Amino acid sequence: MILDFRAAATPAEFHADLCVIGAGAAGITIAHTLAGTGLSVYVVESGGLEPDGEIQALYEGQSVGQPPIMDLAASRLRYFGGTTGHWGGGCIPLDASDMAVRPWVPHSGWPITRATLEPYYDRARPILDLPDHRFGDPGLLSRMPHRPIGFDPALFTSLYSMSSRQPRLGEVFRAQLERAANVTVLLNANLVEFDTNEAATSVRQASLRGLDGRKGSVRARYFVLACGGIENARLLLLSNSVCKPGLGNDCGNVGRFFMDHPSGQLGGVVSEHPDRLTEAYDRHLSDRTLPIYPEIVLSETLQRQQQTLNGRVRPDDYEENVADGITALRTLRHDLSAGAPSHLPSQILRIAADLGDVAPSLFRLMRGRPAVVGHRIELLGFFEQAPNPDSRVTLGDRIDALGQREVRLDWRLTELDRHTYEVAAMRFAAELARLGLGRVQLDPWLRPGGNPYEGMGGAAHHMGTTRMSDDPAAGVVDADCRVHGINNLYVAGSSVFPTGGWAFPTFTIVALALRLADRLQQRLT
Amino acid sequence: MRFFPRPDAPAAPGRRQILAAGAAAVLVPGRAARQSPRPIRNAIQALFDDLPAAQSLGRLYLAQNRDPAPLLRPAPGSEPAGAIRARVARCRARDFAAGDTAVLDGWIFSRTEARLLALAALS
Ligand SMILES: Cc1cc2nc3c(=O)[nH]c(=O)nc-3n(C[C@H](O)[C@H](O)[C@H](O)COP(=O)(O)OP(=O)(O)OC[C@H]3O[C@@H](n4cnc5c(N)ncnc54)[C@H](O)[C@@H]3O)c2cc1C
Repeated sequence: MILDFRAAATPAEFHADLCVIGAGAAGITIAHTLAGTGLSVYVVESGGLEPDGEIQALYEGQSVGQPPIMDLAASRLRYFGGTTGHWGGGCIPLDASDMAVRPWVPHSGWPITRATLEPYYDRARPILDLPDHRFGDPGLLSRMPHRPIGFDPALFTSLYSMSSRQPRLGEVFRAQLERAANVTVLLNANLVEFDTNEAATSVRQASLRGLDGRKGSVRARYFVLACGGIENARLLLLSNSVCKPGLGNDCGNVGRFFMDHPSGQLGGVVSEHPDRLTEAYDRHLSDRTLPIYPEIVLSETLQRQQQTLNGRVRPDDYEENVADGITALRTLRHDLSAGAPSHLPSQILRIAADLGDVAPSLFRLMRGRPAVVGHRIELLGFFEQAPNPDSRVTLGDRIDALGQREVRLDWRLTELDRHTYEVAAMRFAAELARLGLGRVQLDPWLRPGGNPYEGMGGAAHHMGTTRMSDDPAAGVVDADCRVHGINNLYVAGSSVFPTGGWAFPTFTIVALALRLADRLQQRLT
Repeated sequence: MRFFPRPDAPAAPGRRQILAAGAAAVLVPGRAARQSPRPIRNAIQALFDDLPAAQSLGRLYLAQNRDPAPLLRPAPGSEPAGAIRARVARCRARDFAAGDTAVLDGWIFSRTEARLLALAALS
C-alpha cells in the first residue's frame, strides 16, 4: 500500500514490526525482500513519487574544507526511489582485498569478508537487472566488440563492470510494494528524530514531520535507517534529545570517515593509435544488449608494492563540439534500445538538419570507430579514498524548512590519496609508452609541486559516515549493521562501508540490504 | 559538485606539440634508424628532431637531478647511430617496465630518455 502523509485521511500514528526510513536502493531492497512475509513493514519516505523542489531543498547543506567542494543537494535525490532516480547504474562487487586489512591503509579492514557477501551479490543481480555473466568470467573477453589492451597484469588488471538495465528502482518496485499487503509506504513524511528510552539503548519510535507541519510517529520493534551516505549520519546526530552527542555517537564516530570516489583528469595522451587506445573502453561502442564494460584496474601487486589505494584509469576520447544531429542520433538510439522513443519527430528533424555531420559519423560507426573524431584523449582516474577521521559530516548552523540543522560536510583527502593518483598516472603512462600506444603529459595539478587535489571531483558515492566495526570504539555499527549500543536500530547503505574500493557502491549496498533483511526476518519471526 | 566524467580541464597538448617538444626520435622509435653513423656526440644530437627543445627539456632534468649519471656516456671512439638506437630502445623498454621515469614539463619520459635529453643539453 502507498499512503501520502499529507492526506487528511492518512493516520499520523503507526505500529509495525519493522520501520524502514528512506525508500532508495537500500530501503526498497529491504521492503521488496520482506514483501509477502507475515511481517508488517512501514517504509517512511521524505519525498513523493516525483521529484519536488521544496523537498529536494531539504538536502541542501554546506560544503567546506579543502577542494573539491560538493553540491550536497545535486548529488542525491529525495523522492521515492532515492538517488537511483538518476544514478548511472554501474555495478561491480568489491574485491576481497578491498575489504581486508591493508597495513599501509590506516583504518582499513571490514569485520566481514567478501565471501560473506558473495551469496547476497548473487541475489542483488536480479534486483538491479544485471546481465547473467559472472564478473570475472574470462569468456567475456570474446564477447567484447573491441579487445581490451593487454597490460602487464602485475600492474593493471582487466575487470568488467556491468550496468543495470532497469536502474530506476522506484519505477521498478513501485507496483510490487503498492500491492504487498504487509508493506505500507508512507510518502512525504520525514524522519526528524529517533526517540529512545532513557538509557538510549532502544528506539521507541520514529518521529515524523511533513513540510506542512504535520507530525506523526511510527512505533516498531526494529528500525532501519536507509537515507543515504550523508543523511544517515545527519539523522543520528539530530536524534540527540536523550543522548546529547547523537545516537550511536558515544565514541564520536558518527559522521567521521566520510569518503567518495575521487575522480578526475590525470593528464592528456598523444597516440599514434588513438582508436586502439580508447575503443575497448568507449561505452558508446559497447554492445547495448550486453552492458558489460572492461575496466583498467590497479593490480593488487601494484597496490601492495607501491602502498597505494585501489583505483582504475581510462583513456577517454574527449569529444568537443559534438554536432546537434549526432546528439539527437544518440538520444534516439538510446531511447529505441530502451523501448521508449521520446520526442521522435523533433529528433529526426535535428538529425536531418545536420546530415552533413551525421553521415560521416554513421560511416565511422559502421566501421566500429567512435562516432565523433576525438579532439584529444584524456587520461581519467577513479579512485578509492583513504578512510580519514577528519573527513566528516557534522551539523551546520543553518536550519532547513523542517527546523532541523542542515548538514555540514568537510571532505578531506590525504597524502595517501595523492600518492595513489601519482602512482596510477605514472605507471599507466609508463605502460602505454612500453606498449608503444602513446605518451602521457600529466595535468599541472598532478606534477611535482602541483596543488595536491585540485583535479579531483566527487562521484556522488557517499560512504563511511557510520562505519562498520567489531569494536564499538572504532565505528558506529557492528558486523550486522546494528548501531553499537542500541538493540533495535540498524543502518543500511554505503555509510556502513569502512572502505569503499573504487567499486560503484550500489551493488554492495543492495547486497548488504539483502543480508540485513534476512537477519531482521529471522529476528522478527 | 563536479560530477564525473567531464571536469573542466585545460586543453591537453596535441601530438604536434609533443613532437615539437623535442624528443621526437625518442618518442617515435624508428626515426634514429635513418641517421647515418656519426661520432656519438653528434649521434645523440641527431636523435632529436628539434635539438633546442630537447636541450631545454634536458636542462629541466639537470635542474631536478644533480647527478644525471648519463647512461650513454660518450664512449671512446664512435658508435653507429643504429647501435645507439637499439640500446636506447632496450633501456627505454626496461625503464618503462620498471616504472623508472622522469617528469619533464609534465611529460613522462623513461630514465634513459631523460638522461639522453640531459646529454643533449650538455653537448
Ligand atoms: C549522478 C549520480 C550517478 C551515480 N551513479 C552511480 C553508479 O553508476 N553506480 C553506483 O553504484 N552508484 C551510483 N550513484 C550513487 C547511487 O545513486 C547511490 O549509491 C544509491 O542511490 C544509494 O542508495 P541509498 O538507498 O543508500 O540512498 P538513496 O538512493 O539516496 O535513498 C535515500 C532515500 O532516503 C530518503 N530520505 C532522506 N532523508 C529522509 C528523511 N529524513 N526521512 C525519510 N526519508 C528520507 C530519500 O528521499 C531517498 O529516497 C550515483 C549517484 C549520482 C548522484
